[in-house]
Amino acid sequence: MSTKRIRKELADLGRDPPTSCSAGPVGDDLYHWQASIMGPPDSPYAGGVFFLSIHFPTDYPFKPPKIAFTTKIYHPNINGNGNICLDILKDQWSPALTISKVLLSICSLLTDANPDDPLVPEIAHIYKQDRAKYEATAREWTKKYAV
Amino acid sequence: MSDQGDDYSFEFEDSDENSLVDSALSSDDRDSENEFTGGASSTNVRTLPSSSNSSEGVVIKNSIVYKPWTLKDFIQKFFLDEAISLKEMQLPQCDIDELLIMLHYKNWQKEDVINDYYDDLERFRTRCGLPEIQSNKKDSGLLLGTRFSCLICVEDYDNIDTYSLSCHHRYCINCYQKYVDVSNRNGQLIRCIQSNCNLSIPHKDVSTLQSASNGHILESEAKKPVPDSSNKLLAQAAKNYIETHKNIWKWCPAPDCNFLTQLIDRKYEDKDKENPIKYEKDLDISDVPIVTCPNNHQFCHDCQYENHLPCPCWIVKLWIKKCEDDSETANWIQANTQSCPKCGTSIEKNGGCNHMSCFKCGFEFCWICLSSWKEHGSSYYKCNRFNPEEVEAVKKVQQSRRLTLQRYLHFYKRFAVHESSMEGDKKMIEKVDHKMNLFMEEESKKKHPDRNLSWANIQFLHDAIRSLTNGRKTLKWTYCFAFYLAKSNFAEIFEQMQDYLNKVVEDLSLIFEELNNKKNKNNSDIIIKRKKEIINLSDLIVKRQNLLIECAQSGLNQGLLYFETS
Repeated sequence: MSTKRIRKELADLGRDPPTSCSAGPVGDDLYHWQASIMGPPDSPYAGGVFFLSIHFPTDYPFKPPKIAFTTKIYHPNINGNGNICLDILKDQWSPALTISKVLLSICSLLTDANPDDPLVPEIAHIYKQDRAKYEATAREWTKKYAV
Repeated sequence: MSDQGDDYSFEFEDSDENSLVDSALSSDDRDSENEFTGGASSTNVRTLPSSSNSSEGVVIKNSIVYKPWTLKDFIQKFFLDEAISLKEMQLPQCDIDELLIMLHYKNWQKEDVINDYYDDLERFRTRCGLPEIQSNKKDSGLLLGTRFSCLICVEDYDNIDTYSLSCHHRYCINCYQKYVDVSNRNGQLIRCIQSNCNLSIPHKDVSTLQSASNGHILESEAKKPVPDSSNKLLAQAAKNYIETHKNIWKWCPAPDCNFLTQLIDRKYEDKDKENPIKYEKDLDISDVPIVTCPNNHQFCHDCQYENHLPCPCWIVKLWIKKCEDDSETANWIQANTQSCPKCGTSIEKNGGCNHMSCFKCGFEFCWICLSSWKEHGSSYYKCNRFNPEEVEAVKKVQQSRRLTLQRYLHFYKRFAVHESSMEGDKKMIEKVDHKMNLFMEEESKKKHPDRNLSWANIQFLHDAIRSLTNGRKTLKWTYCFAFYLAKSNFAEIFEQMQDYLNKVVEDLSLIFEELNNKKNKNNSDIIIKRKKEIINLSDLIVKRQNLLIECAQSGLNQGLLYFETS
């Protein structure tokens, strides 16, 4: 049943694509997708395009998809391996959520980081203490890796 | 480590003929008391009069007062009855389903429910996931056999059951069934499928949803007016509750045994022992809280291990840890997991940030320093500090481990031999049982009154096997005891006693092996011939066993025996 649901999500993405992101299968494997997110204009990631890999579990949508950044990004809630600390990808997952909604949540995480629940404490520290420095580094990384 | 040796039932009632056997075995037999079946009763065990409900089934033994439970009884008493009493007494305006959700949310604390209810009802209901009181319940719940397009599985059905809470987030029964199955792993309340919808699914509906197959629910399940004790969400919640209240509740550790024991009271002769720091290395083994579950499995309520006398609990802990340290599993657990600082559950971190919340008890902590996340606040960066003291301690432990490995192997081998012998005994019981069954059938057909071996006459065999298993168990633990024992003259006396017990246990074991030998076809004759010998030996085992434990007890009390655990 997960195949049908994933196909439906793919069709919906094609028919009504979200403005700032895109997603689709890699090759023939319907359970492995690649997605891209444009850096939100009001964030230090503006101008960058970030790639993510999406793996669907066989019991999708009852279990959350596994999503990680493949493009390096400087962010308190995303670590060096691209892992994302986002509640809806873990215990707050709901089968009523879709890849499109999750990607939009990741976009808003880029705009509004959550430094109180950091995956990378060093970045969170800088984010809280010296916001300008954080923004500068994030912009630098975006230029270096995501353009 | 199995404790199944004495797990067999007596299908035939005792008769007068075996009174001799009974008295021989029940006297002074501190390890085979039979509180539950009303069999051999002993002076230091008594059951409280069952006049009042609360004390029914309560057992007082030595220094411990406890009560055995089944999971179903537990759910009935602590979950369902609590909801019913709230309904009857304090909150008659609520229905049972809502009360169960409130109790579940408040971790089954009735007082907390009442407090929160009167404190801020609206907020409490929202947190529990209950709809607003005036909300429209029309069109919610189950709808049977309709045309429906489900947004989750994206199927279009002509005839399917669907479900929604009063939020009207309606989905097909197949999706709801899978969702409930996946969600009912951690024993928490299950909320509506819709993200951001906080409404809780009533316990009754959870089992209705779980009964679904091929798009339709089981109607008998849906007709139940209130959830019963077989409800899976309640069962999971109960297991969760028990896991997080380990000081009071313990599962019987024997394989396939589903009994629980509830610790009601502990009495210490020496008041100082209530102080846990002094108690840590206690040498008085008369306080070890050995309990017996209704299946006759004996275990220690503190460490949840089989009856480990003569070892005190802390020695057992050291030993178990030691045994585990040498196994791959433990190495893996040590290398890859950490224990929740609150409930001790092993946690493997396979991704995500350092802000952990224990899935069992919900405690939030920092993965690096293991302190509570609340106190941690915004000082998360502090956790990168290197602590040389801890590293030093780890190194020390490793060194001592290597030094004692040789000595350890010596004792461990003997410990393990008795353990595997206990397994062997268990198989032997089955074989003897089978043989005797066949034999009895034949005998009853023959109707030879003079040679007839009645069931009562066979009873002594079961008793003997039980003392054999219990003797082995004690013997097994004496090797753990001896491993930590410092060398002294009294230690030699102890070893002598150990030897004696070893000898009688082996003697009895030999007779059983002989009985079991395939070449001996007439083993009924052997049984009759050696009956007295078997009874004597099993009697001797019990005596030696008790003497050994007493010897250990007095030696420890008088300071003649002491442990070296550095």
